[in-house]
Amino acid sequence: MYKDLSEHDRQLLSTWLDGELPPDQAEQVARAVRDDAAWAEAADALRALDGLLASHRAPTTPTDLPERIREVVATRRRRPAAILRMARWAVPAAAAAAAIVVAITYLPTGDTTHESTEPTERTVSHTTRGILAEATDAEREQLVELVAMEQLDMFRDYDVVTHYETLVEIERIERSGKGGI
Amino acid sequence: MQLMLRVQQGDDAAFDELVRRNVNKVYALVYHFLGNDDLADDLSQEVFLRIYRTAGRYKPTAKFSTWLYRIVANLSFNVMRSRKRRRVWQFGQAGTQDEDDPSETLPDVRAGDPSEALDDDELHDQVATAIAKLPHNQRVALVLHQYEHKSYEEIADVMDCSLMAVKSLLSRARQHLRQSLGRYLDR
Repeated sequence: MYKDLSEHDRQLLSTWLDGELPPDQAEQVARAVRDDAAWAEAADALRALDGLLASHRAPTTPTDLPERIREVVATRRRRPAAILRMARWAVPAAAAAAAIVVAITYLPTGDTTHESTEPTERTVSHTTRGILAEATDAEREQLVELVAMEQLDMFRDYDVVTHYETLVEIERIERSGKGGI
Repeated sequence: MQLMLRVQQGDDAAFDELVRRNVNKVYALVYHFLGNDDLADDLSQEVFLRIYRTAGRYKPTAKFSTWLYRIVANLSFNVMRSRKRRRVWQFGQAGTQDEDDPSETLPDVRAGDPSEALDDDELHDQVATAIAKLPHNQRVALVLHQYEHKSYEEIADVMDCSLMAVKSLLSRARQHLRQSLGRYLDR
């Protein structure tokens, strides 16, 4: 039976069934399948699996998919310019957002005499305001979404790719040193 | 390849032709990678958008199909990873099933009535789920071999790995599928 074969023999059998073994090895496996019941049963088991997989067909492609692809490309190919513009402030803004979390975590509560070397809410807010002042409303919304998605680590299936592309663009700009970051 | 070179030069008609020629292949590939036709629809659009945006990086030395397979495999991987993360986030680590764990057997849809013949649609879903649950590299190797009829050498080229690795990936993929679909094979 299939489970009785060693890992090495299973691989030989799998490769033989795919016709990818060199002739000498293929002959050895063919002989084993012919003469050994365990090999014969294992070969039948893999053939049955291949048969089941072969019967599994993808659904027919929706007829309007090409048209929708053209629409998506036409709509979204204009976005790189917006992404490039956003990248100039998205990284420092994200860093500032992270600093806010640090500040909130470490800020003293109720004790006004306490002196801390940690960033204060005031300095962090000032930095954040400065960065956000340069962004448009749409860019601020995108930033909020970007940071929220990153923090929650929860993406909608479609957005994750868009998000990934955004990060790739940001990384590319950072590497080129042209982003003013 | 000539078509892709025209797309590189901003020829929109060439891009339309490229979509027309490859849309069925991309849709089927994504479907087999993810086991879900809604996701296949969404991700197919994303694949062609990626092709359009990154056409400038395409090198004529590489076969277009190799480049296409890599894009589809990578984007599918991103989606699988994000879905897995989301499930972990939603349900917490404890008690969350690991979708990359092929030892997890599929629910037996016939369990309610053994005499009832397994519906074709249900079997179809079980096979789709079993493939989608394979570890990513095994899934890529299996789909390229089983549904794109690629040789081991071509698969190695797409996956940038050795022939030995492809042999191992396909053999292990079959072992996992034997395990998860065993009850449908031993009838």
